Amino acid sequence: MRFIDAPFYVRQIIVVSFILSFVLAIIGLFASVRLCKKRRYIVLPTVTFALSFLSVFLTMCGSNLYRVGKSVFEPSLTIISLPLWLHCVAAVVLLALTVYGLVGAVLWNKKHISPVSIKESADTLPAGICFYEQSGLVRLINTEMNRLCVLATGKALLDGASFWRKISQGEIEESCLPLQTGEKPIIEYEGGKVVSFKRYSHEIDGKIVYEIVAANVTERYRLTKELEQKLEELKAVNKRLVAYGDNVVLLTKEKELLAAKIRIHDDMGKLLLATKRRLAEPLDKTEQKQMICFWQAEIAALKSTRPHTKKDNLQVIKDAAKLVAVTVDFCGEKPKADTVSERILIAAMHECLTNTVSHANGKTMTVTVSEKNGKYTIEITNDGEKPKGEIIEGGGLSGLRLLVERENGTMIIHSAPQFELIIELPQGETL
Amino acid sequence: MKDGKYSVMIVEDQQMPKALFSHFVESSDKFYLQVAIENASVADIVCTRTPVDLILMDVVTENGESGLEAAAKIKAKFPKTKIIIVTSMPECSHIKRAKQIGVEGFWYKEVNEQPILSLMERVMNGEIVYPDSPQSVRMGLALSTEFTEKELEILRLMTGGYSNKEISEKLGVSSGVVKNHVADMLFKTGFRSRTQLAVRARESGLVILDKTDDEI
Repeated sequence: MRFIDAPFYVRQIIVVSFILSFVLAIIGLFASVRLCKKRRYIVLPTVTFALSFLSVFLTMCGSNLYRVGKSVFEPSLTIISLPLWLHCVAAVVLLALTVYGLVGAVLWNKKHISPVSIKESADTLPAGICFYEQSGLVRLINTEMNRLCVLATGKALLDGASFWRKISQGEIEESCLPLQTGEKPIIEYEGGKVVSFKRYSHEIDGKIVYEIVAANVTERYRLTKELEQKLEELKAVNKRLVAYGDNVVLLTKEKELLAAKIRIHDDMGKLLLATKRRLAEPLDKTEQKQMICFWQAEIAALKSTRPHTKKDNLQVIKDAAKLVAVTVDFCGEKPKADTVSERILIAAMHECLTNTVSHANGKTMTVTVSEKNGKYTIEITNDGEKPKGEIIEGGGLSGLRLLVERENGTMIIHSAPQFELIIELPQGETL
Repeated sequence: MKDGKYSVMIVEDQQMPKALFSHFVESSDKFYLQVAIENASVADIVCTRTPVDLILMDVVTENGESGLEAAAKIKAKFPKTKIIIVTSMPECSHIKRAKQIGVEGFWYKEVNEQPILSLMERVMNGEIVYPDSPQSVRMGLALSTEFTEKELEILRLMTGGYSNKEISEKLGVSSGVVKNHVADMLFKTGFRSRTQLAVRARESGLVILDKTDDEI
């Protein structure tokens, strides 16, 4: 039986299925173009769209015109003259293909990422993210970054370059506080939320694209501040510890001295009572001598608890010189304590005093210090025997030379006409 | 020597021990006091004029001058002069340094029961007399002898106020190693913080940081 000879309701069913295929083909074509964007996935929907359109047009037009007895378009006549079973098969196949194409497009969409899915996923990120071109044109931005921009600048993020310039320079709303500006800006928002911004650049298809990432660092910032405070406290504790260490020897000595004084005080008390008792009776010479010895020992012990004044280093050398029967004749101004000049002067005097005693057998050592032409000069000589030949620097003088030269000074030793040590130091150093 | 007695120099800045040692020496029939000075830095100068047979040298003298450094200088110039280092500080590195220098005796002032005179006689007879072990001090729940050498080195630097990072740089170890040693010491002593540990160590004299070595 031909299609045109089939009962009316049969032809209607076939035409309706073609129309349904056509509608589904449109939807499928639209879906594949929108979602897949690949040629191979668009071909089938295009073909089914074309076939279903032709099927609908040719069968519907041909049937109507044939029914009213008018002349039918040749291709249309050919189609409607085909066997009914062929039309049935065509309808079923076309419907199946359009459904397949539509379902395929939907399934493809579920398995693949599209630009929409990138936007959707970006919007679900807790961090802010934004991509923009060199011109400032924003290519992708999520809702979180836009919200941060509105809070910080009062406007939506439409120009990426302008937004970056503002936050990196701290030009933001008063409700926000720029904690750090520059390449890694950090902003504290109203409510205490702290956000850190970082910018990266990428080269995509020969163009520079910038990416700004905004991360919530509230907890990390709070811990960093806490750590900084603890470090400051620790530094203060360390400083106190160092000061304690410097003073502990003195404090210990004072403690021991106090303990000794208390002991002596108690002993003297007992001695006073014993002396009073003994003086009530006559004492022979031996007993008197013994009593005197006890008192002498106590008084000597008491004298030894007198506070000891610290001597300066120059005085120490002068006292040592006295012990070895050498007089130190010092001319010039003493250098300040704990300076490089003082340290070198004392070391030089030490060496020269040793040499005066051991080699020159001198009685007087003359030390002259002066400041001229921006240099600190030390000259040391003695009245002992002249050196027999060129002076060879031993361990002491070599050590002194190293010390002087380390401070950019110079040291000269003259052997004739008499021993003379001359040291010149640049002014201004302190230890 | 004079009149069959050995000459002694005392280098001690504290008046009471100086008076005590002087008294012991003067009352002995084997020794006489040649000179008593307070500053170790000039001890070698005094020896230059008149060499002495024996020196009683305190470890820390006037103005913080080191008796050990002075002993090293004297041993280099006057090897025949015998030296006994005396100290009240239990700082353990002093014994080690004294042995390196080659001093003949080491004596803890308060703790040692052996009289100083008997020690001096043994040293003059050619003996080398050192304590069997460093003086022990209590550090919280532990004794100082329970600390290792590395722990004591770290403790010494802690008393100077150095951070773990600075200590690790000075000792050439990682800061993790320093942290572990500090944790071990805190565990041994029962102290709650490294500050407490450093204060007790400094107070007891267990460790003394020589800042001049540190600055050079």
